[in-house]
Amino acid sequence: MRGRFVRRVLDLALVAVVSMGATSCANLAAIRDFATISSETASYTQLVSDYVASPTVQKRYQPPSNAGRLDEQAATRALQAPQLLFLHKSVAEYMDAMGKLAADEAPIYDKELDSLGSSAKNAKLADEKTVTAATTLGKCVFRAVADGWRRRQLANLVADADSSLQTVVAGLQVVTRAFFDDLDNERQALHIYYEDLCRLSSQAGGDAAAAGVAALKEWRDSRLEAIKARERAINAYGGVLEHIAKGHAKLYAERGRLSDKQLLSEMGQATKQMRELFGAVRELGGR
Amino acid sequence: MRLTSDQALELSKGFRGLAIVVGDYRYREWEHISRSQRQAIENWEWSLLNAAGDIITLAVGKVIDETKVALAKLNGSTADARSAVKKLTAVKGVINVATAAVALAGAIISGNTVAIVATLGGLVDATVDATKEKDA
Repeated sequence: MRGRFVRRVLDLALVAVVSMGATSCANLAAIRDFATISSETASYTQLVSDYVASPTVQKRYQPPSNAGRLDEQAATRALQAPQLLFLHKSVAEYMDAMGKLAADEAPIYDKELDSLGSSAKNAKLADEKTVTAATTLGKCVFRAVADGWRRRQLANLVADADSSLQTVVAGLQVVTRAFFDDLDNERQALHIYYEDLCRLSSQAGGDAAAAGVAALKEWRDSRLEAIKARERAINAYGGVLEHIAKGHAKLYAERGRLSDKQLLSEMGQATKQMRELFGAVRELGGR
Repeated sequence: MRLTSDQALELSKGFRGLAIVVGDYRYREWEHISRSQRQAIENWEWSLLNAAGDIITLAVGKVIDETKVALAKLNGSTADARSAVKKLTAVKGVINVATAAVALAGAIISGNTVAIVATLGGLVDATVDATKEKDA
């Protein structure tokens, strides 16, 4: 009789553990993979480097009298760089922590996030709302680390961070559009430079001039192709950011049933598309 | 003067667009204008393009966040200027419009509301005058 009672209690305890720990036992590989590709994407900062370098690149095309102005623009952008890197790093670290919880591993807090946050604040060019959101995101990661969170707390992390993550990613999306517009400026600078050179060379007349113009046009076209490739990279990057925002919003909305098959299947699809887009970013990005 | 970053990016497009049509004018009239006139117009192209770059930089820094002057009016002004330059044949009118646009860009970047209103009026006047010259 006593043996049957103990067995019954053990059975009930087992049912309770299984139901309470559904999330902790489920295979959340799809969420881990989504977080991993999101973190990799956010760690990619070549576009920031291109943005900071753009005024200096334009010095090649513009008259020497404009050098001072372009230097000022480059200096302002160099001051903005820590802020932009802070935004990237915040998303990357958060997604890394989320991936680790999904894999039932202990998240890690990278102290570099603190120093980047300080640099961003010191730059005083930040939109307070975005920097605050990025800082909050860092605190979410810190809490997960300090409290020894594991997979069962994944839903808590997603709930804590969603609003801040959406703000930071929206900020990065605006910045990505600015990068795209910056390339339009570079294209026009290149157009003025080469068009004028071609016209002036043509005026000289003769075969040598014609050959020179042909060479100039070829060189111009190769530069334009490089700009087009970077445009495609920026568009692809914007696409991944959109997936990050939508994917996380989906996880937030469904945080009560993160092991749902349909949800995991959708996350898997999104991750596949993100990998393709990010592959294009890495292939096409950079000068 | 407080603009959102999105609005600043729109303005930047306006200045770049103006640089492009001023450049198109210079190439269209290449044979009919003097070398010094070509040089003067080219200088304005660069100024407009650099103004666009400065405004992109501002957008990224979000140092300008909310608009007080009606943005539609600002965007409308650069759009009117673009449209006027496309139709123009008089060098003086092109230079006046470009000068006024660069002054407006400078005022936007400085964030001085009084200067923005004044230079905005200047751009509108230059555009209207240039169009009248063309129609005359």
